[in-house]
Amino acid sequence: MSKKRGAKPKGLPLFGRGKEQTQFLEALKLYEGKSYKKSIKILDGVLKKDSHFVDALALKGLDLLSTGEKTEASSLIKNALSKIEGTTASPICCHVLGIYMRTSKNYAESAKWFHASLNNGSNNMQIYRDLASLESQIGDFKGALVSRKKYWESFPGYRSNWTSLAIAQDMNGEHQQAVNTLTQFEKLVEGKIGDSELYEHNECLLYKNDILYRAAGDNKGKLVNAMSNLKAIEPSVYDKYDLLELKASIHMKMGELKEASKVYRMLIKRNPDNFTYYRLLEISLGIHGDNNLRKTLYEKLQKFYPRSEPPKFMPLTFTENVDELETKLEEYVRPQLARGVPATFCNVKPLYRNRRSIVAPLLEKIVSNYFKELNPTNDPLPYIWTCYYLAQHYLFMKDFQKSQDFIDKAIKHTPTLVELYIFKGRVLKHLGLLDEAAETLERGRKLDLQDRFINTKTVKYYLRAKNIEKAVEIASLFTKNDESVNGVKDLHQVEAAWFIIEQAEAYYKLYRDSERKLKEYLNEMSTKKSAEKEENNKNGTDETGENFIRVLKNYEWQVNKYCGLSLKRFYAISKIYQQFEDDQMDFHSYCMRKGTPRAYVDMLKWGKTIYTQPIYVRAMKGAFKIYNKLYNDSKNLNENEQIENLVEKVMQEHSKKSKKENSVLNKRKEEEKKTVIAYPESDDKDPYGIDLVKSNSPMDAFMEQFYENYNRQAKEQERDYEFEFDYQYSNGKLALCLSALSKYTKYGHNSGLIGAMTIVLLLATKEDTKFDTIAKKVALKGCESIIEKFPVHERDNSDFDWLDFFQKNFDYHNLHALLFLHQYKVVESSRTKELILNELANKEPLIQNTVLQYEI
Amino acid sequence: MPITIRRATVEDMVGMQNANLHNLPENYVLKYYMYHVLSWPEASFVATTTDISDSVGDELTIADENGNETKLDPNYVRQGEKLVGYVLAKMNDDPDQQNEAPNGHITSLSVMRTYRRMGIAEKLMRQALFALREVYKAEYVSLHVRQSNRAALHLYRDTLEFEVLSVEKSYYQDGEDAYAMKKVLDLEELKPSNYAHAKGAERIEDDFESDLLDATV
Amino acid sequence: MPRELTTLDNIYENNIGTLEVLTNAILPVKYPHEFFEEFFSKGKSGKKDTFFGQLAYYSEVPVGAVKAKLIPNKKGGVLQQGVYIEVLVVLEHYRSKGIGRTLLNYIEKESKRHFQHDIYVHVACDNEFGIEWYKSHGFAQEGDIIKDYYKDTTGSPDCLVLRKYIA
Repeated sequence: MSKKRGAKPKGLPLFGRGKEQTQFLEALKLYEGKSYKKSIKILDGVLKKDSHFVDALALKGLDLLSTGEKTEASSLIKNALSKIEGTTASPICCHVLGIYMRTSKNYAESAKWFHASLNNGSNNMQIYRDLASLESQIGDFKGALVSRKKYWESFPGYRSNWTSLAIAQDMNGEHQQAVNTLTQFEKLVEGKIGDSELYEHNECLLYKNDILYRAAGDNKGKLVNAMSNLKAIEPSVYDKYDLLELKASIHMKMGELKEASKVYRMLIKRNPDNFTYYRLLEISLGIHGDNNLRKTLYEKLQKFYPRSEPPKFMPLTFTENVDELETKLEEYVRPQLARGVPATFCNVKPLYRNRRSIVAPLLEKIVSNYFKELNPTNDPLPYIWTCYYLAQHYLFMKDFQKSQDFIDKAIKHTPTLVELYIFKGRVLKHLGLLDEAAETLERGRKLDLQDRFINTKTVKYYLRAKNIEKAVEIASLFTKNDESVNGVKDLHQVEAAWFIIEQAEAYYKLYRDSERKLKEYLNEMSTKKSAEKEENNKNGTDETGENFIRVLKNYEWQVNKYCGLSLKRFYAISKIYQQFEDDQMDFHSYCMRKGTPRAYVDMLKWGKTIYTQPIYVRAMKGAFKIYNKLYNDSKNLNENEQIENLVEKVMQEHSKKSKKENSVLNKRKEEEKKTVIAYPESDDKDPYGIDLVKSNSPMDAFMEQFYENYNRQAKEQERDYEFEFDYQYSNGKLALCLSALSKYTKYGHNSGLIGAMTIVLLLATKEDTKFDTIAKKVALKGCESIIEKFPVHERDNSDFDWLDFFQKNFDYHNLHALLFLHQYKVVESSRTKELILNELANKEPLIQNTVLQYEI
Repeated sequence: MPITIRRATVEDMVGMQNANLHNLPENYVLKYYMYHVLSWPEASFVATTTDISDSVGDELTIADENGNETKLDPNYVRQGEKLVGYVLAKMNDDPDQQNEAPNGHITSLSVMRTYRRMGIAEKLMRQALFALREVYKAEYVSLHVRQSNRAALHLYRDTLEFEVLSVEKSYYQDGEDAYAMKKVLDLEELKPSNYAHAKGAERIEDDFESDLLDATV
Repeated sequence: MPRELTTLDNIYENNIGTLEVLTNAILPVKYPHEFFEEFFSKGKSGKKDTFFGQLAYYSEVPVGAVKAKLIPNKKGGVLQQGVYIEVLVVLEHYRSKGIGRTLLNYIEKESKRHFQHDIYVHVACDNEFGIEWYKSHGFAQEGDIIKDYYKDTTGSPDCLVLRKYIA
């Protein structure tokens, strides 16, 4: 904070507070000098006399936050806020609150208080700069423009302020103004740029041209203008890639294809390994549809760039003549196998997928023939890499036996190659042999303990096999374990999302397993119970009862623990992504000073996609499964109540034993805590995630922690509407279910699922369901319009066979749709289950197992 | 598809971090990647696959039926674009060394094990070295490499012609020594087109004027 | 720059697993894990024995290995003073490429460096290939067959002692 803050607080009388005010200012100075303790001491004195002095309360809160006492700080701030009406406080107080909120990463609130400070009379212009960062962080670009402008007006002597202003204008679509701002500055510094500023200057010149290009659209005149600007700045531009790419784009848009093609040739010369340039070159040459000319083109390019992949590979994607294709494939694949390129198969895999019917048999023939030529002793390396290729080929063709034969052959020949074990593990995984797969990876890992790639793979395989202990032990070989018993904390620290999400999913499976075991055990016990009771009465002892308590408590704890830990890990992913979002904060000012506006604009774009990234979505869906289950369990009291009653009864009968078991268990919990805790102990009061599970309103918690952020950023076409349907259904929002369904019909391509969703939606509109009446009407109408002649009139006919209807009208060989119907219990579970089992018969063992264990 | 080499962008950072966590013992939080890419946006490069649906068979989810399982793999930058290698480079911005001539530093280089022997690391490095020189005017570049890392040592010393400056004792957290290496950068020598042909082979270069579509020439 | 097809490198704690796999894949004798770990751990005497070991790479793939022990003097032991090759292996399909020779060269060099003139090796009686190989590389049989030398083996339990004298 700057020292310039003279304005008197509005609205608050200074009467009789003269001395306190002086002391407060002293405390403020101490805060600024980082003497928080001393500052607090003075403030305590002030507050003793006047406990309503909000400035002092707020500052003390900030002091405490700075010393790390978050809880106390927060209660002081709450206290201060309760005494402020709206934002009517002194500018200093508002500023203090703004800083407090910013430090607590509550950026929207922080911006509010910085604003208030200025509105209430602060003339500290620095606030505008901070405010602009905050506004950019929360995506308020309108506000950011105002703030940037104010700050620029006060300090026009810095390039960074001009750049900031231009970016803010650009973000608001004021392209012309942005260009003007940048041009004005260029004129100001013409001929006065020192060596150290040349790079920044080059970035700003390109940024301006980029705006010109974007703003031009298809307008010829504007494109000409952008091109002449580009030519003018060329000598000052260091980033030749971007310069050339812009140039080519403008040529293309102007229809100057020949010129564009020349520029793409220059780009290819700079980087002959970028496929994009080759594709654009084809377009600029106007030969995209002419395979003969393409052939000529790539033959030439291959002479220019013999060490690059694209000229060799591209012809494989379009050559139609089978003999010619065979020759080309052979020329492509054989040298790679001879050289021992592990990724040979990966390189041609897209051809298998896109041109399967021609390419797969050709490659099988080519590689098998090559294999026959090879002698394991004369050509040892080509021999194993060809085995490796064929193993991958047959796995792709789902011939597991042949795949396994080839990989075993390779391992027998050369048992020291890590890749071979990785692949063998993968085959075993597809066969559903998860434990064996993990053991195989482990054999590979032991060959080279220093290789983290195989370490990571092994960890992943152990997690999939639900062997968390072993997985953590292995992962911990590469972590900084300091005072921890393992690397879990460090893996959180370095944001190792891959590990955390896999662990979350492993915990989820263990949760479901232990829940099943618990139920089985209880059923077994309740049938045994009466018979045993008589027995026990005769003997006068009750050992079985005691044993029962112990086993029961253990199972119960396992269910809670695994559920909690799974949720806890999914939360950790959400936290990491929130951190990613927050990580941008510093760059709103940093990039201005550093002079990297283009990268900064990229960052802002990226910032709007954080919560739609793969891992976040995966964590969200994982968490939803748990929340949804908890929610359904809480409604589905019948079954659970029975269990609970039984447990309750037994516990009462053996209350002494029960207490003893509790203390044993507590001890174990305390002991085990060390192995699961993911954050520093002081920050984590709930290492097992038990509190998360206990949430009274699971759907709200899910909304707040996962869905809200996703919903804010996800674009229509990238959403998963099946998930949206599930979520809105649980959330009780039938109209939104309908909207998910209609979006799915627009973007999805699974007719079976559309049928299944419509049935579920229709049945949800029945009179006796929990949903809102108006929403039901809307949904009912929707069902009629989504599928023609949908038998909505059968809704209340309890004899109508919906499964039969589904089978007759939709693609019922669709496992996904069947699982959906099963999950919503549209008909008796046994019937959907039977169909699912039929479908599963054609699936590979891995999918069979997963579905059998965790889906039905 | 085989591999595309291109400049790293902000969008690639999560994928780079993920590749780093899979392959190397030295790891960083995302903000450190942001710091690189936002300070020296032209210096870092990535290697990615470029096909549209390149993931069948590797995922456990039953979502493959739905066609969107690619989205769930952390390796994927965008649909169909799997990041298999990267080089993270920077300029030396140590305030204590301001009097030094501008010089670059390779923070981290990694290629997934299953994509080795394709020259990806070399191509990434050549692009990064060229950029450090061309864009940032670096006069030399330095890096550290683990003493036991045979492949990396071969790449830097033999292929890229770095010189070993010294051995830094216990440079790494686990106590292993590092070779400190350095290469003086010369723009002409670094041009990627110099390496388009095998060593010693005849060099036919594109003059940008010849007709690419005339099979007779 | 092309690399030499065959290269040697040290055995590190991190890759003794490779040594173990090579040894147990090639020899009929089953060596326990401790046999490999003793490279980096102290022996029974509490003192660390001196071992010479290398892995051989063929085009960067580990295909062979040698492990030898320095027997400094005759005190108490059954073994003669000298260098005693415990394991010298090359995967079947990588033989006749000079890899074994390269590994043996390494041992000879180390022996000289430690002022040793005798290199010993025990070879199972049914290992004709091995016996031939050693003989063609300057080794000669020393003494009689030792009965029941190998305990945990699928091959012959008896062995020959071969010796090579280096100047």
